[in-house]
Amino acid sequence: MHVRPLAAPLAVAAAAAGGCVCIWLANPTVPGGILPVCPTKALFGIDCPGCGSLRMIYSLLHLDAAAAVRYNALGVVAVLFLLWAFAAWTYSRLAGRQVRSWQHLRWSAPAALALTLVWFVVRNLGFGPFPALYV
Amino acid sequence: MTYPPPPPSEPPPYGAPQGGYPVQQQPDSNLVWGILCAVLCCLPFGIVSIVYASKVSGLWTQGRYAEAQKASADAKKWAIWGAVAGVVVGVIYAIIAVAGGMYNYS
Repeated sequence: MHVRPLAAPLAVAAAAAGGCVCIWLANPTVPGGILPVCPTKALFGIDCPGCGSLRMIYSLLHLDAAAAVRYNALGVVAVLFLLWAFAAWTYSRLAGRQVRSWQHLRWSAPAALALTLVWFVVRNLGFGPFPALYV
Repeated sequence: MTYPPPPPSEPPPYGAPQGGYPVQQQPDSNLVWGILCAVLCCLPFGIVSIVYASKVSGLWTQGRYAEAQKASADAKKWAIWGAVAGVVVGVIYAIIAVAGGMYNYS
């Protein structure tokens, strides 16, 4: 069965757009909304590496980059890299050949792991400048 | 208009790009799925997936091809489990939220 090359990227884009609409309407920056609090935060009271991502996306949708970085700086970086991967993937399907993207580089995965773990630790530290990272 | 070189005599492993690459292609680390899982599902499964993804390249370079393939498959598996767990948690949360709402307003 021949699947149109753009069908999958369009499906992903539609799902992402739907999520963005939900986040826009639900406004996670106001506490007590319908969107769930991260289970890690709800159960243990600590920030996981992804905490603040909903508010980060909400801020990005409202073109408030400073607030987005404030809510989850690493999340903003992740969004940029995911957009890059999405663009490369879409182009790969259009061109009919594999386009090398950042995730194929040798040190991408260890770097992502290290960044995630460091981010997990520093945003939960209670001294110095680190409490500013807690959301 | 250029055409890709003729296919190698040995079929490349599943998922490998066609043409222009060596026959033995390093398996995809599935890193994007692990990161997506860690960002969207907010669950440790995404981190486990990234751990496996980070092993793929090193194992492949050392010539431990079977283990590299296994790490790639494990990265994918944990990302999928994380997505499933994220959906399950979301559904449970929605049920609790709806039930709590009905309790509050009854």
